[in-house]
Amino acid sequence: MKCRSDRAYLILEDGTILEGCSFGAKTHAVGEVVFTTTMYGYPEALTDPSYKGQILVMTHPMVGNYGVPDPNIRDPKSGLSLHYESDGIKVEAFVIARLTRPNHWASVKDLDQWLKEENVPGIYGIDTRMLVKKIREEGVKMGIVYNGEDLDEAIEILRKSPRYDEVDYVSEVKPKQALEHGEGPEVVLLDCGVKYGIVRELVARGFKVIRVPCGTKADRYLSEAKGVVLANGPGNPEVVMNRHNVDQFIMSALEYKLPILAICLGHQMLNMTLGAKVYKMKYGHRGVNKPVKEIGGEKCYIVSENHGFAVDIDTINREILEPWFINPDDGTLEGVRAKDPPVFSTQFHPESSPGPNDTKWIFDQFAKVIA
Amino acid sequence: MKKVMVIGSGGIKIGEAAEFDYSTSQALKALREDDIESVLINPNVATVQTTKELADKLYFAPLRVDVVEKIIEKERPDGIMFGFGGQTALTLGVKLWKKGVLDKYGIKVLGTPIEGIEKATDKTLFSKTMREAGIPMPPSYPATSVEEALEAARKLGFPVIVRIAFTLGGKGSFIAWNEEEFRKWLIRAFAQSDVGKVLVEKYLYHWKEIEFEVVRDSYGNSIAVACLENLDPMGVHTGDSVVIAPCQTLTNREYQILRDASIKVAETIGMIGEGNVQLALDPRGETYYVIETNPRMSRSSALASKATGYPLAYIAAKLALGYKLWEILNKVTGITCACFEPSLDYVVIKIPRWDLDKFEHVDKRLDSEMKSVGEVMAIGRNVAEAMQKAIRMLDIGHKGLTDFRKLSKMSKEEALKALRERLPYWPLYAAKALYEGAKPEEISDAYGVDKYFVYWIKEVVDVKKEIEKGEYDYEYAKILGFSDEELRKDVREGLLPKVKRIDTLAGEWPAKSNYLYTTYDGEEDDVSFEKKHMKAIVLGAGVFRIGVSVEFDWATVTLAHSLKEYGSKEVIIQNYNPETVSTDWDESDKLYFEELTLETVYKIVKKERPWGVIAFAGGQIANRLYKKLESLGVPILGTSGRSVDMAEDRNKFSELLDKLGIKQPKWVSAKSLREVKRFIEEVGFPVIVRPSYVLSGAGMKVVWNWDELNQFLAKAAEVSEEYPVVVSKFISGAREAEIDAVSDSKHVVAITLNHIEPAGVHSGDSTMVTPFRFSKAVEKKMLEVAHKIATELEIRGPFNIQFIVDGDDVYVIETNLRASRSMPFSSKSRNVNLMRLAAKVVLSGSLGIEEDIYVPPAKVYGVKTPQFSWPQLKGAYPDLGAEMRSTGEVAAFMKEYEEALLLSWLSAVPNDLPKPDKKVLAYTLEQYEEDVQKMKRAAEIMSNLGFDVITLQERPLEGFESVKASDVKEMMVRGEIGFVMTSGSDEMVDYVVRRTAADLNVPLVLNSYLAEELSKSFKHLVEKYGELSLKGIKVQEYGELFGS
Repeated sequence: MKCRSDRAYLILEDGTILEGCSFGAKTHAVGEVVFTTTMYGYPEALTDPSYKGQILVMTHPMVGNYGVPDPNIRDPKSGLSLHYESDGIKVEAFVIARLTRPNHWASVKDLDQWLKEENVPGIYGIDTRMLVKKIREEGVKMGIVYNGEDLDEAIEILRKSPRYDEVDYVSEVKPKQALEHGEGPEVVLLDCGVKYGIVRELVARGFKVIRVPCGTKADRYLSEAKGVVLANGPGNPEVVMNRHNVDQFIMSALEYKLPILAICLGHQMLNMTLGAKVYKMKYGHRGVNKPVKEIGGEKCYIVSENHGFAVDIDTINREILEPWFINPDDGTLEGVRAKDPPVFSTQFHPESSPGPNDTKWIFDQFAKVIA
Repeated sequence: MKKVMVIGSGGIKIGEAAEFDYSTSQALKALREDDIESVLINPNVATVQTTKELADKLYFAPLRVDVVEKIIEKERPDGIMFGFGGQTALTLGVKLWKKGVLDKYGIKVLGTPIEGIEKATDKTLFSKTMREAGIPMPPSYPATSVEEALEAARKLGFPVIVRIAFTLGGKGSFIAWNEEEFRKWLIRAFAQSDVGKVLVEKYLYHWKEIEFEVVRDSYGNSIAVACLENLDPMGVHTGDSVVIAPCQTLTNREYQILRDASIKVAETIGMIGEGNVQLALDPRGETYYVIETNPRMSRSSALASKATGYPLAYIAAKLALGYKLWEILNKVTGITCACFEPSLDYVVIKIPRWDLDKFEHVDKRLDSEMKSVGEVMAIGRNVAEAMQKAIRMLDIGHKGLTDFRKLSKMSKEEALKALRERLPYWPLYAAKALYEGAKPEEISDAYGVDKYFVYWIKEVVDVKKEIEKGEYDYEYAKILGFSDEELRKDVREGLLPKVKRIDTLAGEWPAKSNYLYTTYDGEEDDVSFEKKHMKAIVLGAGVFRIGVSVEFDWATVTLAHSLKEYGSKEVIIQNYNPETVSTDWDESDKLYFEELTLETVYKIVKKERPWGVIAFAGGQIANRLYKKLESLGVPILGTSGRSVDMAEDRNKFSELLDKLGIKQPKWVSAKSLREVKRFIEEVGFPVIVRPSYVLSGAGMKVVWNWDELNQFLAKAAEVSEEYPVVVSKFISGAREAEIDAVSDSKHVVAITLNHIEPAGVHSGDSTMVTPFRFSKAVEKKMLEVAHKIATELEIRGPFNIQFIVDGDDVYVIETNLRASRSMPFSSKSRNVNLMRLAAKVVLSGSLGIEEDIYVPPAKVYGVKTPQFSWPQLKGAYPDLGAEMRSTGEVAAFMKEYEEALLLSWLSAVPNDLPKPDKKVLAYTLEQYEEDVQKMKRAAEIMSNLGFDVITLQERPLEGFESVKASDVKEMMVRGEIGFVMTSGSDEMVDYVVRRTAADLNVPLVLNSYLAEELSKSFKHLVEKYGELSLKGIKVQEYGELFGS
């Protein structure tokens, strides 16, 4: 017996059945099974809208140690919760090795209770390293976290579910209408499921951030704007581009010659708008320990990443953009930039959250060209 | 850069241990990779780094400016590295720079520049630099009056800690929780300060202590390789703290705040290479302070290297040579770059090992001064698994966290009291208190450990109760780290663990390394197990403690390398000591960072199916397993378990000696006081008493009369059927000698050693000399005995025999069929390697020599000197006796005996040449003639050399001015005494003299035999070179000495 609670299962599309222990909601959830190597920051990860549609595996074996931080601990400037990246849990299910009993001054409940409240199933007692090695070797897979003993039913649910790459998850996480944070010059942020962290960083630098829902026509906002932010979001960027006319928005921004900050999905969509191709990675980059090397420079930064797609470096529009960052380990393009109009575009997350703050200077540079 | 000098850390002392063998060895490897010629200076003879294979040039020499300058003059290196040899090397580096030596010879400092080192190590400068950079330091105010101090305390808010400026050992310092307490103690505090000045500082009571290991290149690329969380709160030295990696209780925000601060500290001091930053974090919020930084490899960085797999010392060396971080390959994966931060999918726990019971009067409570002598690191997939492993690894007789046999009578209140007093091994008391019904809050209130960790201990305690009721789940108990022994399960039927790999990236990339651990909290092995030709598992030494140290790591590493060299297809090392070279994953084909318990060794053997296990390199722990492993059918390489048992079992061995006609001191294993008395009446005093169960204090003592015997047995030991006491005849004034040897059961290669100190001083605390300086006849007898024992016991491997020499008679007192403490020294003194020969015997069955006994010829004199840690052992009485007290050793090799002795002795700190303007104190507490005569001769020689020799009024030496102990203390404090020679042991007489000398770093010679030899060496120096200085001495390079 691996634990002291009810059994739960993680079943993969290739038929692999992993038995574990149930926590969180006693329900089932289907998603693309991905792993993150961050050792801390599970509240941020769980609430990151980019994980919508995915079942998250944490490689660090003990999770829940510091409980669930009080959402009322807020950034005074933006009014956003400091330990959260959105208004609630966004992952479909959570897979860990050991669920722990927490202790922390900021905690208001434990992980189990939080997942129950948000109706998200969790499973622990899994050999997450074994699972990660499988994903590393064979690529990401669809899977189901299942509470119950009718495994045939579970397999059937999984089989009938749409594949991650086909679903428009942005519609589930984008705001219903435009939202505003902060005071100062206006920055328009295309919200396809933005992380609070990006908004917090912009507000902290003295901007009024207008979060416009993905799919919004640009002109209404861009005439007043001093800068544009293309933020992160979940799902296949092709699907997002097609469903939400993002290229129109981006083309307008370019026509207005506004400084652009693009992050993750935003970076992919900017490049796609300018003709680049994206491809799906075997298992992506998810963690807070990844290096990015500045092309042509001596600097290398440790960054926070969460992406399963990447821009093909050979297809970027070199008339407008130049490669900026690269992952030295596998050669993935990690950023592009331009001088006129100023473009700062990163595949990684300079706002981190969770992760190191080492590339927050990108927000400073963006702020500088606006001011 | 063509030639680089690397400074080692010298003899092992508390606070500076084997971790610097690891770091310096890696630096040397990095230099070799770049075809840079390396010149190593380190007198620590027991280390791996001082095997001639690692450095191109090797000097066994004192780490003193005068000596090192001479070596620099001769070698003319282009650069120097002093970031790998601990504080010793760093301090020496700064001194060399200040004296202008580095400028004079145009030597570049590689790594963090001197300015940065000064900013980091000078407390005042550090504080100023940090505040200027906006980095928060704990608030404090100086005060020169009660009013000023009160004002400061009010500003800071209670609790406050008051530190006294310029006193020894923190005397007068106190913590106050309110104004009343504060006023009460303040007057006394001012009285203790010679300058009437105190420092009132915010007391960070029960704050978390967090460390970051930062790597930074000369382009400013910085990474935080590891976050280490101390389970012990602020106020307990990190070296004495239980540490977990990665940090477990920090939110992302807290983690980043502290990580940012650490990197900023590194930037502020201009660090290049590797360094450690310690921070304090309020457990009730996000307030933090930077406490200190070490701009060099440290104990924590060694731990971080082993915890993450990231080779910090190697990377630091490369960065010191000017590489950019992203240019260096992560050798663990072989494909990714070194610019990343390791992600751990396991957890490691370090627990320190103390040996304070060996010392009288020492204050055992943990505080800001480090007291431990070793540490263990355990790896698991959860806190409980790692912590239970670590408890077993300590080798203190606990099978796990909840093995309460030794604490059976302890109540909840007593356990909580032990926690409040901060006694060593607090997790055991925490478990006991919980078991007796304490709430987790009570544990964290008492000790200051985060409740998160207490909950894990509670889980183990809860399962323990189920086990006691017989209602438990075996699989879950294994996941929580219980041993089969504690679960009363036959290991042959127990569950096998899974083998997981440490790869720095949590499985994200395939790794090339074979750095492994086992876990019951997993379902899949990361590696496959192949039966290979001559696949061997070498068991390491495990935890270091007094008597077991880096010498056994030398044996382990050397053996592993030699086995490979002689044709072993796969060599696996199993060990768990994070301070060692053997636990570097590139030293063997596979490394199991694992327990050395019967269960773990057996289960790894079952999975690996090796050709055999070798247990003779690692010392006691490994040696103990021999017979048990053999009985479980595990193939043993080398000498058989039966023979090992024969040598270890007193009765069997005694019979064997009788059979072979070899003399031994008379002895008895007494099961009652009556038997003890009967034996003593027969042989007479003095005798050595060795209890098998020690209640408190030292475990072994020479006693001279009935009073002493009764006192010792009443206080320290139990005599019973179950716990017999071994009493043996002690020959006073007799000498001691040893043989280090290797045998193939027919032939023996042997090196003879004699001790300078007489019998009664533990061999580990004795000054050792080779070639042999007692008579040829004695040496011949010893060699004959060695051959007889080797052939009789069919020894196939290394062994060591200890002898008592009385006139021309030799008595065998002990034989160990394994590597010995002195083997690196004896090997290096003859430029042979006994462990290499042992590997040859294991693999080929033969030493390949014709003679019965071969003694490798001596080209030089080798002298090995013990390194003590008296200053670190606050309150301990410095003396020599049957119990070992030294923590390390150093050696020198010279053509002349006197110079070898002198350089060897000077290589141990704080030994120094006596200063002409200071007095020499000479006296002895021993009663027997030979000792008194020797001390007298020593005093006379010193007097003839022009020193003002005084003696102790309580035990005066005839013919010298005598001063009473209390006045001697005053003289010492005034700096008037520069050298103390004494002998014997009686704390009632001279505690204050010896303790003050230890506290003030005054050179202390604790035996008259050594005093005489040393004074003769001083005389030799004066006669040969015209002055008492090292100016004339030519320190030769090791290869040069042996003409190779």
